[in-house]
Amino acid sequence: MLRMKGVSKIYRTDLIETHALRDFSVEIGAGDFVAVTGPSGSGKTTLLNIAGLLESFDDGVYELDGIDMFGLNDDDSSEIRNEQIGFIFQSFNLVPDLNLFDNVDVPLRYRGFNAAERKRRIEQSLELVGLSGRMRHLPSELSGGQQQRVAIARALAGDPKLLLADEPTGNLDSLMARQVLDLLDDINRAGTTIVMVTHDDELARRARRNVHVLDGKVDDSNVYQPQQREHPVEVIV
Amino acid sequence: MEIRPIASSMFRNRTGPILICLQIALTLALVVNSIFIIQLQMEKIARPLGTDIDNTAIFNVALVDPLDNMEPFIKNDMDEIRRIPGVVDATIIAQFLHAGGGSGISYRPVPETNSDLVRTVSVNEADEHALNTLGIELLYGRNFRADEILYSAPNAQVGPSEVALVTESLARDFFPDSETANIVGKVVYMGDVDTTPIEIIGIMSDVAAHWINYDSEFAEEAAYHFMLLPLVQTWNGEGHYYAFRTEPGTQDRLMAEVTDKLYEINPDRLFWEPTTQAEIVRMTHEGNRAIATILGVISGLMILITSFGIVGLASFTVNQRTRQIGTRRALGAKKRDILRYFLVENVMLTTIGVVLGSALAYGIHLFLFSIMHIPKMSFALIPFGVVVLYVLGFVAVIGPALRATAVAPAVASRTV
Amino acid sequence: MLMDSKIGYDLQLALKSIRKTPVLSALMVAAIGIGIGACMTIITIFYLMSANPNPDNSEQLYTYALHNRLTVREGQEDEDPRLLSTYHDALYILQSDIPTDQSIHYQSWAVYRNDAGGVSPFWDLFRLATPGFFSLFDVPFLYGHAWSQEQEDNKAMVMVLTREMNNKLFGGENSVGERIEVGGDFYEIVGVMDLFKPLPKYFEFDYGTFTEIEGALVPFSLTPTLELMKNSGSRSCAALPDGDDFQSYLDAECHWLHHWVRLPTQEKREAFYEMLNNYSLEQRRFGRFQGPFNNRLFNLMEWLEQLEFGGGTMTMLIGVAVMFLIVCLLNTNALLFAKFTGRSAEVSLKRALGCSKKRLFKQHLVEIGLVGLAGGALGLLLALVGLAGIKLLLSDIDNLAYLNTDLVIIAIAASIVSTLIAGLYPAWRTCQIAPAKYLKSQ
Repeated sequence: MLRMKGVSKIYRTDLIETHALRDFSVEIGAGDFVAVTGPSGSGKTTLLNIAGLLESFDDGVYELDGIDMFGLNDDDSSEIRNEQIGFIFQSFNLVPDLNLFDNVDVPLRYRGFNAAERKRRIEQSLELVGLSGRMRHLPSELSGGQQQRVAIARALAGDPKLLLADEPTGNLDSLMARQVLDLLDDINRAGTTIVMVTHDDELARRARRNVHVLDGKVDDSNVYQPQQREHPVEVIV
Repeated sequence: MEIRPIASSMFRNRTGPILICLQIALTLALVVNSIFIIQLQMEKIARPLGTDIDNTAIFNVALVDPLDNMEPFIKNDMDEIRRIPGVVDATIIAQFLHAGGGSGISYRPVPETNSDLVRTVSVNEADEHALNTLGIELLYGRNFRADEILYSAPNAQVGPSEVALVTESLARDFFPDSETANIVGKVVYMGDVDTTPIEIIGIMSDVAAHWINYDSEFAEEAAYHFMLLPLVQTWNGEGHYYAFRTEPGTQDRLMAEVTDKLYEINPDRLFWEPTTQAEIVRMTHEGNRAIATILGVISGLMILITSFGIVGLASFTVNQRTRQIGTRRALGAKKRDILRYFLVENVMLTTIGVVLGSALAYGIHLFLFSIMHIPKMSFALIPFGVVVLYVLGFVAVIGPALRATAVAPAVASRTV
Repeated sequence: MLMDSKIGYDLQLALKSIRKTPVLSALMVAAIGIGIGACMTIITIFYLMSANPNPDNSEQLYTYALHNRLTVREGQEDEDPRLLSTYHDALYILQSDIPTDQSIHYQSWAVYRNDAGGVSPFWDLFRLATPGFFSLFDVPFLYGHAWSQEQEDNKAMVMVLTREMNNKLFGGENSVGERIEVGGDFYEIVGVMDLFKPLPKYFEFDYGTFTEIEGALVPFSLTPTLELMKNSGSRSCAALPDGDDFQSYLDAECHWLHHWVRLPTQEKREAFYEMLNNYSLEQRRFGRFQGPFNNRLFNLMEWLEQLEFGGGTMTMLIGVAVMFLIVCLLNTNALLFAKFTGRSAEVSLKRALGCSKKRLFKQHLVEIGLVGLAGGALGLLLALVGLAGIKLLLSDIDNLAYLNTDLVIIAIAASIVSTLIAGLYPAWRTCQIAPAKYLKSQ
């Protein structure tokens, strides 16, 4: 459902020109669970941003669900972001002044659902991540793992076709990380396409497919390749 | 409309909003009351005074060596002045008109002594050319005759006269049950105990009493209670006020000509601050203009400072919430959704502020009402102020709000 | 020594911090400056208008108002007595030995000539006063002195010039002993006053309240001789004089004389008041002082209150200025709050490195105090601008519109204190931040 061909992104300042992505091509089918790996600075976050229409790209073709994403105006890309894509950020990005209910509500408000519909979806989402009992709590009252689960609930509330996750377990301890991963597994099995950026090997292994990014280009696609030859760490429960 | 979440968010960071609300409330209260008071001052300045302000000039003239009998001398001065081409008429008058001060004498319309129908009247004294010189219209009856004008003995005072001219308002106040035209010929009596009848021989169009802009109930009721008496006093140590009226546009030139002519008649003269009626009125209204200006300036500054406050708070909020704005955009908010957020927030703040401010404005008005003599404020003023503040809030917040819309969605994916 | 270096260090830190956010700091100082400037402008006028013009003596100086009614009428009980005295009432009270000093005076106009000195005749204020005028009001003399009581009793043709009159007639030279012609009579100059400008001119409320005293003074005993009518001032008659001439005016029920007395002790005040009332009772047989008694005695400050300088309007203006200052302070409060919130990371770090809450709070206060000081200085400058503006608006305020040392101190102090109050909450709140709370990423 997601198709990129020859996509490049260049950052220009007065002194430096940085090629974040060069001639990048990838194809992701519906229902895929892809882990995007690579060292820091390799461009994987840029890739995610472009995929999620958070940033524009300078060259190449990007088709989402068959529709060309090049040169979309701001309103249209916002709409697509809102309706088709769900985001999970590394730093959660929950609104600290709002309770969990209102946090999950944010993207739904932009959708134009009526109050009853929004309520139904929020309750369903929070139920899914196991936090419906704490709907009126503030994010500051939750642990890191719980906050990330709320972020997931927020991303899912609109029934997106594509879920983009940027280091979803980056700030979590191993137990919480595993819970989050389990959740993502469930979601993927239910039909949502997931593209997950991570530099964690174990996470990468949990995904069904890996895309390795190095210096803005795809290293190898469709081949599972752990990038760091380290002792695999056994997680003891 | 995301009113509830916006309110919730604002409440959790309520220090800034509370401060702005208070500023808005105070600003509304002060601006509304200032406009009211300014209006009052402008009304006072605009009140019709009943005489030809623009074309009358007044000289205070004295002889270095006063003559024993000033009467023929003064009459000669007057004739000479009247003969100057361009001079409409001239009169000798006891004191400045419309100068904020003057003589108040009490009269009563009945001969019984100790009556409670006694009331104070603003009085001036002049000769038979007064009406024409001051530009006062005679509505009923007749003017003074030349032989009715009483000149005092040297260094003495003369009075009371047998006749008087009153304004229409005063006539109706003395005799409310009579037709105005029939009041001509009626008599009044001076003070509490005097029984000398004074006949009203004519009724003038309304002329302002000297207390017209005083802050009292009496001043309002008796604003045009004015009386003219046919007397000329010649106390030593006083000059005489020569008033003369000129054709429009000729005042400056003719003031010089009158001065020259008076010196020509007798060079041993002293002039004390020749002035015009317009200048006197301007000085009398100085206080009113000053109050209006001070209040206007402070109101303007207050509006400025409060707008800066709104801009500041909004900018600060946008900065603090940059990550949040980016996240919302990432989640699908369009630019106008972000704009709407800040506008709604601003409207909510302003609304709380103006509700508080309206109550405060009314409270302050009541307080002022108790310490100053002012009428009740018109109800339209508060809504007007409210609208001004909404507009102000909008104008102030639009800059930061637009900046907020420029926050890139990619901000959300940056790590701290 | 240690204390000094600590305060110096705090000041250094404060300055650095202020410089780090130049726009925010500038806005703060501007807001405070404008607020203080507006307040000081109005408060200066009020202060100088209602300040005690003679603080050393204000407790002892009194004037009276006799409630002389010739008729009895309903509603009279609430009437105020007339504020000036009749000729005969004043003379009678002058004879009383209860007050330690007395001054009866009024103002008229006359023509002054100094032909010998080459000054062409001009017209100016001419005053008649008992010699007590000079001692009662502590009039300073440049040359010579007042005339004696003996000269007063003998109706001597002597004169005291005001400073301004001496400048006009003699170019400011020592004119004691000179003779000049005024109103057709010759006078010998016995004294020249120095600058005498009590604000307000309480002893002469009905002419030029805020200007320097003008003209020249001669013995009050010359009143019947010179027959000069009181000019430019208040005179009200309860009944018409019986005749037309000046003497009839003196005998009439006309109130036109200023009369002040010195009553140094409470006993004297009570005795004087009793004397007034007894006099009133006695005068009833002449048909005067009918109706209920309401004789009044005012000391200097009570007198000023009675004349109601400004009244409600002044209160309103002061209220407006204060409200404005509050808005400016709220603004500053918001700015300080924004500033300190923005410094959470820095505060957190400091706390993590061992800075105590108290020390941090003190540092914040020093910074806020500096801002207040700067705001106060700006406020004074703006107040000068404001006062200049007021001078343009009101021509007779010219003498009032200056800032004396007291007011400058008040302005700076008020600025610092109010800024501190405004900044108290944000400064304290910030110190409560847990150490290192803001150090880790979100």
